[in-house]
Amino acid sequence: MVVFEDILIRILNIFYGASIFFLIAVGLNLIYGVMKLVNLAHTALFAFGAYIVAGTLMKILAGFVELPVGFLIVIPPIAAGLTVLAVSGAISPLLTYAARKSEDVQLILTFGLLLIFEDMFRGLWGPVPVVSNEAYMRSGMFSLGGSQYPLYNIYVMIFVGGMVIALWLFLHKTRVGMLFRATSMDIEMTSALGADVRKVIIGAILIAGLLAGLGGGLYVPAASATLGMSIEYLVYAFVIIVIGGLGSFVGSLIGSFIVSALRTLSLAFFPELELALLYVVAIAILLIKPEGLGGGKGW
Amino acid sequence: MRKWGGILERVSRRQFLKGLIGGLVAGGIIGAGITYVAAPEALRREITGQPSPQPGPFTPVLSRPLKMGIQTFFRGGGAVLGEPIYRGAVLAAEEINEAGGILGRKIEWVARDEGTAEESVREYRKLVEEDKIDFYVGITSSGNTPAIGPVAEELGMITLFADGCTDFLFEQAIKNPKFVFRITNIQSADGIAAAIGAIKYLDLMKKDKIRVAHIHPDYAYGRNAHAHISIVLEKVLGKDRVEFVYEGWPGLFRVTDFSPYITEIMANKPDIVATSLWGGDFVNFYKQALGYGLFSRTKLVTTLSHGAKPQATGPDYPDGNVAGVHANYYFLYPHPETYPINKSFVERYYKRWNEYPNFEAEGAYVCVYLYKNAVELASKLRGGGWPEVDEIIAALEGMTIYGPAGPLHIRARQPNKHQGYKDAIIGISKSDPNYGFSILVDPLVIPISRITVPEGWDGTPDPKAGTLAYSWIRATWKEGVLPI
Repeated sequence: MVVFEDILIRILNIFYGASIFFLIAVGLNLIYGVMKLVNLAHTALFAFGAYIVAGTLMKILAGFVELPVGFLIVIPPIAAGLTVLAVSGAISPLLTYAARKSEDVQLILTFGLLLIFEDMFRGLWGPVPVVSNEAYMRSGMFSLGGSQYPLYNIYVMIFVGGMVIALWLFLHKTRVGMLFRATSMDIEMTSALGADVRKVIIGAILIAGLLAGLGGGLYVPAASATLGMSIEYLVYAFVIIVIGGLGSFVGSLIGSFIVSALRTLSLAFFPELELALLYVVAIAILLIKPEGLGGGKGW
Repeated sequence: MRKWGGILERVSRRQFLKGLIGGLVAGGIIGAGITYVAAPEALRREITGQPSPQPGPFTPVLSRPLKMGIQTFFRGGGAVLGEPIYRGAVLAAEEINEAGGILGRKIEWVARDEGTAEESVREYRKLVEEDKIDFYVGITSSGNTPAIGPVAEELGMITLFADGCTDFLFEQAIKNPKFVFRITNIQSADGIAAAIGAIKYLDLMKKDKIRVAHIHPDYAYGRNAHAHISIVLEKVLGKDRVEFVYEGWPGLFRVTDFSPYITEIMANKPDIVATSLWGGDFVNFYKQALGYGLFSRTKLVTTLSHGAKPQATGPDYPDGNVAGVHANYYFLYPHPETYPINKSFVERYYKRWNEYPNFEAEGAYVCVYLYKNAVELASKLRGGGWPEVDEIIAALEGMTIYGPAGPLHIRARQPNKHQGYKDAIIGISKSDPNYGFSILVDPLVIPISRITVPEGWDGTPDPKAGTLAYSWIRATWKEGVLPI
């Protein structure tokens, strides 16, 4: 017997999953757009954000007086975002170097970077998953008919919804945003017209890092920071950019949403086929519309 | 004749003599070297003129220390379960050394990583061939014992598996083991114990209908737990009363966001949720499930909720759920106040490693003491001196040892020869402010003979579930009767 609240909860889960995916996918697409580089290390930055919050920040804050929930759900993710922004700045020379090389070199360089990050996580925070659920637990839950739903997830969805709007406004209503879009569409022409595309590239790397770190920081209270998280999300990110199209803002949205929906629904009806289903759909998209469902539209 | 003469003529007599003498000298040196290296101790002492020690029951027979090889997960999702193997073995070795060693020989140890099957076999070979260990304690993962077992038999190394409890090992991979032994209870006992715990603690016999949801990590252990929990529930409660409403199979340590699974489970309104999720997976799962209010609607029946490091199950873990410890040891049973061996073990382990021991630690600890006991017995039976490998094996077979968990017996006959058997524990979770984490209380002690295939049973493994236990339950358990 299918109950209304069950359907609603599934829909909420789809939006929640899509929110996390979006923060990862849009950064990946931003970097690809301006540099034409598929940065496989991007999900490691997401994991970094998760580790910074769970492994370091929350341990420091735990020593203080009991902080209000509002503080806990906002400040740590922002701090993670800023930290990862700095880390992206640090690795940007490597990314700009890779962008000039052929695709196979890019693959090896960026994937190698991901593996280095994973080893660094193990060295800094140990081999065991790092848990810090205070923000999640203290946010509480609300009732939906006979069921319950965690309020923290709702908060994440609202937060990311705000980010979607903010990013869209940035890209379409500001001069700097226009520069980003122009650089994605035609970097030579944009440079010829006098824009400093190097700054745009660095900007893209930094913003992508900020969003990834933010994503990790938002995600971790509801889960944990684990080794292999980078790879877990890289697998999803791959399918998202195939389905949504590379270098596209709209594609990031579409891809995130579809992958989250496929995942949630396959777990409902064919639990064992989850990943297989995702990749079957990805292959189908590649065959039917290789530029992706949102691709070709640019930003 | 002419041919021979021809050869001799080409070589002058002087050259021939030089060659002959040179060859004899070289041969003599090489021969002596080979003899020295390959010679038994006694001969070597004669050559170098060292006095040979007089044999006796407990006098040092070899001055060379004993080398123990340890292999387990030191990193990754398995480390929370596996590293205690190292800690338990080292604690035992240190205690034994403190007391004078095994027949006077001190134990040294070298540790290597466990990983995938290929990696683990490679590291195992290094332990035996490069590090030259005398005996081996290790392995957490059931994926690795069937890979390493045949190699251990090939290399002739006494190998005491502290876990890697898959039924497959002695039922199919090495049916007639000589060098390989396993100390922790066989894997099928795990799911069976959890199901029995569910029936007893949650009073399932009295319900008309029981809706069961499953969520297990998608690998051999999860599949095994799923199969045996299901068949026990069906046999004891009756197929018409039990309804399996959902099955989730997340990859092992591959998922951090369980919310879709949790939502699906709850949508199917189960009475119980059976799970063999463990380690990081289990912590993620239960913390997220708390957010969805899973625990106010259903009860969790676990094989391993309290079996990883005891303190990993936080004080927020809800009370009243069936708490599994992999059908093995829990640090509070037998209660340290009533059983000195456990008291000493828990106290020393906590002092040494600053945490409470899990069943892997206890298993590895017992492995080392089992080896010690077997060596001492074999030595006594042969009238003194260090026993041969065959004699140690003969002493191990059929041996019973009292470890921190209570008595453990090593089976000497088929089926499952060389498998260890000790009574299984299952319990109920309760948050304890004294400890600061959720502990297992009201332990139900299940006599191991009730839930494992007995010696002499001659069935075949079930083709689908892959274990003898499954066939045995199907063939011999009475419908509607709890076997304890």
